[in-house]
Amino acid sequence: MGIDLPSYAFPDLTATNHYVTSPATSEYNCIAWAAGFSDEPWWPSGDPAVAYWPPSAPQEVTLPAFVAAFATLGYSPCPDGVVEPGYGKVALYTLGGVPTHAARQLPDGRWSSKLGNWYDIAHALDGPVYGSPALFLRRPAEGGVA
Amino acid sequence: MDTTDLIADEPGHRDGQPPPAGDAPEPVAAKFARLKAEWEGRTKYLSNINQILDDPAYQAIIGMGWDAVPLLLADLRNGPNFWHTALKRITGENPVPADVRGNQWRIAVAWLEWGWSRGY
Repeated sequence: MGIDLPSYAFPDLTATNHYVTSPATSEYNCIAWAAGFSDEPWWPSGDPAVAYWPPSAPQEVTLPAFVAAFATLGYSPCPDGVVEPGYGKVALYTLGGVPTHAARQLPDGRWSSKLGNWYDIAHALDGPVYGSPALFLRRPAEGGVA
Repeated sequence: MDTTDLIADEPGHRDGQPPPAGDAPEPVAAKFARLKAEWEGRTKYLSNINQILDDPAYQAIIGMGWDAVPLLLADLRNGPNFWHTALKRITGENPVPADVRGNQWRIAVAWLEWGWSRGY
């Protein structure tokens, strides 16, 4: 089942190349979802009442800061987004060098994303709103689950 | 209270700009509903909290001042939303416990309890 999305934001999405995996909610955002959390947004906002950000990661909207945030969960940079048995992967997106989005890899190689305050979807996503994956991270899967 | 139901079929203006001189002042509830709809429309698929809160319509809601407080609280009764910053800026208060860690439900409850204690 596809969702109705602005074509200018997601030009590669069609009714058949993605599906909705959760209802819209502002309880968490894409970064939290990619990190494996759905009870709070993750963002270096500087206000812990607005969003969570790992205390050891810099409070700045930069790729190194996001790498540091995911490092607190055991992730480290890897060459690509190809499925690797035994590893879970995350893709960090940037637009103009600024982090915009993160997605978590599913076992079948597709990516699971929370679209801001909107839905979660499973997809192969690339577009002008979030940009393209700038960096892939991986961590060893625990018990076979990434 | 679903504030979007209060939008009248009247000319609106984007980004919090006032109606032209000579028009009747926009009712508070209608203005809030219009700004909320503009804000959500532009930011619903963003994860950048800073961009969400810096949006002109969100800032215009803050600019409504105390008139917006009961509407913000009413909206929170429908579920979490990013109204903490607006309420904090307008009221100058912060009832959210320090250990909340971004949990939007706990933030909403803290503000609703704050509102109830003040008769909202």
